[in-house]
Amino acid sequence: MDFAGGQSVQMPSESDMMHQVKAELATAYAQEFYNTVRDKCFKACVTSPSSSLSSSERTCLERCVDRYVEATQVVSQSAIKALQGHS
Amino acid sequence: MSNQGVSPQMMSFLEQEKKKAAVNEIIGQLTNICWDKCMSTPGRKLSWGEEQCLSNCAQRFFESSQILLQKIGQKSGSGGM
Repeated sequence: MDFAGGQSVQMPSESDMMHQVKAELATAYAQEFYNTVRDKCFKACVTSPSSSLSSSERTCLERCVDRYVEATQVVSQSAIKALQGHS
Repeated sequence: MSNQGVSPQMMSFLEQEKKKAAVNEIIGQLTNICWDKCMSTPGRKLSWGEEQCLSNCAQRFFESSQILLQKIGQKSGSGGM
């Protein structure tokens, strides 16, 4: 397509745009998740910061991530139940 | 061929993604709140008590939201706000 005196602009396809939206949303979710887990787990596991992380603190941090994922699943399932029970 | 803006498929896609984002948001917030109420030091797995607490927390949250919404609705109706 040629406009008088203009430049031709290549519009991304809608499919490309959809992929980009999905990718950006996925990144945003991951960022949010990381920020939350980081704060929660530091708070839960490193109560008295010392000159280095102890092995129990490290173990706690690793467990914490897994527990947080599980907590998200429990909350998710209960939320769905609560919302379905409501007409 | 003219540029008419986004297609119905695109509109529908964006609506879907909006809804998904809203769900993600509420679940994220709720997990955050309920974690604080229910969890202390993370163990090797979620204890039964912790799981119950998280589950109860989520359900009570929605019940509470309903009650609060109704109450606020009443106040608006009577011109109290």
